[in-house]
Amino acid sequence: MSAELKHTGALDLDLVRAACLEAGVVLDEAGGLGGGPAVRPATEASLGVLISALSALPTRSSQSTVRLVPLGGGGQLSWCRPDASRSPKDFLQLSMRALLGDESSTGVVEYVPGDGTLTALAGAEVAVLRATVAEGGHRLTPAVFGSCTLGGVLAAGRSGLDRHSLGPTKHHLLGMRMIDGTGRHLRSGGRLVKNVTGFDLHRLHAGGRGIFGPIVEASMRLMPAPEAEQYLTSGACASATAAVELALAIRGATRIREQAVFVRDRVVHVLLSGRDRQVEADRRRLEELLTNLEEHDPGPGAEAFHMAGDGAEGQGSAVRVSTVPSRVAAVVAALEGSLGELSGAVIQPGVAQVDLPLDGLSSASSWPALLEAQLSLRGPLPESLRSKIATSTMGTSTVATGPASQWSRRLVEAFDPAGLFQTEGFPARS
Amino acid sequence: MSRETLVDHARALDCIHCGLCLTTCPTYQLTGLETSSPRGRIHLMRAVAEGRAEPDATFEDEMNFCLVCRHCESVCPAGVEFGAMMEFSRGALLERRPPGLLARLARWVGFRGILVRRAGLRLAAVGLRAVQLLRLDALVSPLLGLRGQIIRHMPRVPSARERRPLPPVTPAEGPPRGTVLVLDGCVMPELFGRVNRAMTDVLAATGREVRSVPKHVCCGALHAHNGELDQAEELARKTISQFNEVDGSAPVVIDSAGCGAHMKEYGRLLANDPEWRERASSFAARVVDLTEELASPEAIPRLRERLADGHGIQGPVTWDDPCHLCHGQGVREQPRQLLDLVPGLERVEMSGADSCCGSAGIYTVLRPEDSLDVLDPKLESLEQTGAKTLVTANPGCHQQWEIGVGKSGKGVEILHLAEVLERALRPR
Amino acid sequence: MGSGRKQLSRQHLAELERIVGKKGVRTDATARAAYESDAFMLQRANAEVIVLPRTTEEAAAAIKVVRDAGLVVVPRGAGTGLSGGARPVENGAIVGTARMRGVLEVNAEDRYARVQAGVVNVHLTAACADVGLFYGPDPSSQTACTIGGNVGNNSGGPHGFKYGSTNRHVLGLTMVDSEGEVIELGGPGATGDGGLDLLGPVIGSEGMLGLVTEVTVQLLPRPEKVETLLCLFESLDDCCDAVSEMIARRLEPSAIEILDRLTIEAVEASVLRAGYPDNAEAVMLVEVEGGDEEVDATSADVIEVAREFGAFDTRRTTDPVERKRLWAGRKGAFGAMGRIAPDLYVADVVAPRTRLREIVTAATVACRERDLKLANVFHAGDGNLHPNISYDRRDADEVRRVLEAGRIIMEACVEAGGSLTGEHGIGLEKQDEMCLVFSDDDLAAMDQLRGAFDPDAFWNPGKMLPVRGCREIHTRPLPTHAQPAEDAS
Repeated sequence: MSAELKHTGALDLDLVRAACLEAGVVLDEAGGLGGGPAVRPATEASLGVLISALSALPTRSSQSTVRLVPLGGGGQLSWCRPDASRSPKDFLQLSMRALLGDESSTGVVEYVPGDGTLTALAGAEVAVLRATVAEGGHRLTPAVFGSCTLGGVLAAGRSGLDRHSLGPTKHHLLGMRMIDGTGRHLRSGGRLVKNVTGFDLHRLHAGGRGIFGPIVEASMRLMPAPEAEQYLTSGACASATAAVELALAIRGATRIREQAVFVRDRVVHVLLSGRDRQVEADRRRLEELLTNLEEHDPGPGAEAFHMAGDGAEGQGSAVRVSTVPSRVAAVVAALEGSLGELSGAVIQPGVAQVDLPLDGLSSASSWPALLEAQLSLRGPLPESLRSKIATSTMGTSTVATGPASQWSRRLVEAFDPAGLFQTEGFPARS
Repeated sequence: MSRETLVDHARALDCIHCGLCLTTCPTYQLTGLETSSPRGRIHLMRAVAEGRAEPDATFEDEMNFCLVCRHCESVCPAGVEFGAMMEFSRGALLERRPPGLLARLARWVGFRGILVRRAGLRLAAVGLRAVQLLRLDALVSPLLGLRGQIIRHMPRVPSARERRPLPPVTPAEGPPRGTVLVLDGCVMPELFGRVNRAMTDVLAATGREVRSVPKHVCCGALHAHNGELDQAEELARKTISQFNEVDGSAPVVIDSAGCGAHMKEYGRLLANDPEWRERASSFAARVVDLTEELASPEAIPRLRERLADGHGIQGPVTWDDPCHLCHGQGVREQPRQLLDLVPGLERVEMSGADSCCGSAGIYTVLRPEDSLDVLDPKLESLEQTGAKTLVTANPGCHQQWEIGVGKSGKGVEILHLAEVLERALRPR
Repeated sequence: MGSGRKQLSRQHLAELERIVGKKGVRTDATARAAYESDAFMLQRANAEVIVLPRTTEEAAAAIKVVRDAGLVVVPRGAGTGLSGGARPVENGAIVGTARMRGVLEVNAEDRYARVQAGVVNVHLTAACADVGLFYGPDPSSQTACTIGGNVGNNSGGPHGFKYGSTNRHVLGLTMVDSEGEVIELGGPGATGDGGLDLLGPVIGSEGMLGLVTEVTVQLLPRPEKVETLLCLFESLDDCCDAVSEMIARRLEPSAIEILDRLTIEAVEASVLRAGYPDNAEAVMLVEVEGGDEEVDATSADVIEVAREFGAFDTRRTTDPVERKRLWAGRKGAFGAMGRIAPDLYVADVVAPRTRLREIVTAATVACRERDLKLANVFHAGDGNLHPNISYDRRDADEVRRVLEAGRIIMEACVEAGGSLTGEHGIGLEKQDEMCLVFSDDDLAAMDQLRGAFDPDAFWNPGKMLPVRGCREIHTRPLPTHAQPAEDAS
């Protein structure tokens, strides 16, 4: 049942030209990222027609093919679409930004401060959306740093440092509009904070890396902006492991309600937020755990915090180790033991995630060490955790195999029967 | 007999099918089958009444499988009177399809021959005692399967001295607080005469003059629970007149939760009898459980004065709520309060103390396997408490626990709350 | 599946009995009659067989037999669902999880629990109480409903305001598919980031994608302080407006509930008597959780808003016994309606929280015009309204009027940008109304999603998705949301 890629050859520009003509979309043959071909449809209708036309084209030979990549800013591309490391000329880039209209548009479709919800186009910049809702006293998760679009972070399954307390981004996703691989305009979920009407198709698109077609619009639940925030750091610990143990102690102290905590370069970073007096009280409790606690001014502190924490996902090239909180210290100790100082690694003990930058691992000798570290850790893991310590490059992943991968295959066949949006290695096939 | 009269359809309509009762039901816990849950049984009754189901043997079995512990009533937001519905259905089923000859004979002997006649009860007790003394129970029990095991671990029938009836009057000790009537009961004096005497002594210690009703034998609770409604009504009338003959206004104090719960509902039982309705309601209003009487603000200080350490009751002690006390009468706090009053007594809570032990009147005899299955998780809970003494306030539960503890070989003493208090009474 | 009634053969029956034990299979009419419906009473149907496995393995083996016998399967937990999702279907078996009640693992350090699907919601929280953790979702039926059922309906509850519905708490699932294969999805720790999120669509799928047999859920640390507030209003409208204002001011209590006068009366007459005052037209029940300082600050803010909007009395308590009593009253409110009439229609619409009063008014008018008795009790903080209409199902005309009113309430909600169901699911009850919200394409896509998991419509067929096409039902999807943005503008 192995679902081989349907098309592996070069992009068939003739077919693309024909479809663009039908949809009334201008083809920019070399103006995309990396000099690849791109289209920038200005209306959803034309985007739908384009996809529909491409999906209806006659069967192509294995030498000539049509493959599309929905793109926001392209920030997630390097790891989210690993086959994009092939020549950019093999793909048609589908820019979702043009749907916003002119340059000044924020992409906000509806922000209802009284209801605490936001609906925005997929091409909207997360930073712009966060600024928009901040004016109404709200905050939007994920708290990601740098340039990325709402559709991009959703498709890539990205979360921010606030995942520690708020959970993954997808938990705040209320609904979506999208276009599938046959050009159909679809909708799932809604704009309300609570809704169980119908199957949650949108949850497939969250983290679906665009394989079911582009996300057009998404609705998000907003959180009230906190009354107060404090950005705090510890002094440098003796080792990454020691810093992780400290961070775990903060997580374990349920009387401290930290918004986020992570370790980078042997320093523990903590964000406290909430009601004024509560943050003060939490900080006093934190001081009992951490000596050398340093507070940073909100503005620069926030920036420094997010720059430090903007690890793997932001940089787009890293190795991620996922485990459970109780194993994080052991994982980090093993990695530290075999790789030396984990400089640049971002460790989120609460989320049980270790992101190692690829640069530090580029020497071939590191890889065996890393693998060895994983293998030695796999042994004593309790059965219930099974393969949850799955280590992967961000580009490939280990997911359920067997019948579940059959479910995945059939889902792809249902929503992208022509294989326009397929990508190598995702979802993993057994 | 028509379908409509087979079940209490009007009461069935109170059920809104929300299902909040499911987890409280011992038979649902046992089987996971909704048919064997309160909601399921009500649904069946309604389906039968509305002609969508047949009142066949499986229907009847489902009705009989119920322990009528009334735990569901304690959690029912709609206030469905499940116990009453069950009595109605059982009664109707009995009329519709009388059981086989042997069973009919057994029922006649039990309900009309033994339970309602003091002589019958005495004869049965003497017989059982003889069997136990001769160790015949041990001899025959292997032949009788589960019933045999139950017979073997039944409480010993005490000597004739122990089985003597209560004196007609026991004077108050200290400043008098008026008179109360007490119920000797049917099985109580034969198996648990010491409990009745303990009750009398403790009541007297709180300043009550205690009067018994020597003529009286049976309140009819077991009859009602098992569908013998005509008999039950007759016994209720008898009970009311006999008690009123002795005293027409004194509180009626009951040390057997099953009897108390039933007697508190005489008003409902005789609601269709214009001649008796009023009398029954006002009598029912006088009925209190022993623990309610003793935990009253007037009795508590008197009791506190008299209770002392050195009672020798093995701790820790745990309280098991008889269903017809906590669910039937809503009495939960008073027994715990009374146990906590005893100096030097360490009380521990048992998880699921308010779920049924499987005794349920004569259920142990009728459905021994189910009865013991219901008891099993309770025995586990008891084990977890580490208690050395288990306290109850109902003869059926008392006997069921004796059987369970005996069968599993646990060294736990079973006592009635009145016995605990009596042992802790300092002599005046 | 062909037409005509399919019966279980003797061999199939014997095989099922071998797998789950004799007590785990029932085919007699009496046993089946009790499963005619769940807590949605308007439609009944009989199952061919009731199968109650005890483990995942038994469930998988039983599914193979049922499939081989040509039957389809309706999964069922405790049957407390309010939309008919667990009602049997023609030629269907009920596979129930009522005997799968094991809490398999509680991991205090990593804050998760793994339970069998039949574990009752409150029993899960009880099982992790001694390590200072709890399970977030608390549907009103939590003393009876199962975790597996919660997964099927993506159940919420009062505290969903803070903690979200079931889908925010499930980390992993063990399922049996239509071939009788066991499938593991997700698990504890950071998962689901690497591959397709199949948990997402399975949660809330109303038993149509497979049988969930085990669930791994995250557990939360018990808050340091919990305070319950009771605010009394002379008018339901003011009470609704106060809630809208609390949301607009971005206050963060963990639950905001409203009960109207009729509901209060029913509750106070029941065993769950909570001590709600009898002099209020509406009661707002609010819970605030967290650190001492934030609870104090938020409670003060809540009371301030309530007073501004005309609350004539406010009470607050942190006493656990008192709090439990107040909540027991709220959670038993639905059942307590049994005192008013034999049957109850529980609507479950969601409105934007800026428009609560509007929808409550629409419901009131719809019921008054049809001479129906309406009681309101709802998760106001989430905008999740439960207009409860009392009726007697033996009165055909009343049933018709109830359904009409129910539909008008749903339409009003959808018009206001709301939805058909916040936590009870679509089931059998709101299938046709799906067309109010979704286009034919949307519904076709949902059907394709179902087909990817269950190509042969083996699981709970005929539920959730409209049986007839939307054009036949003659409704139009909501204009503003269903169309691409540029077409609407």
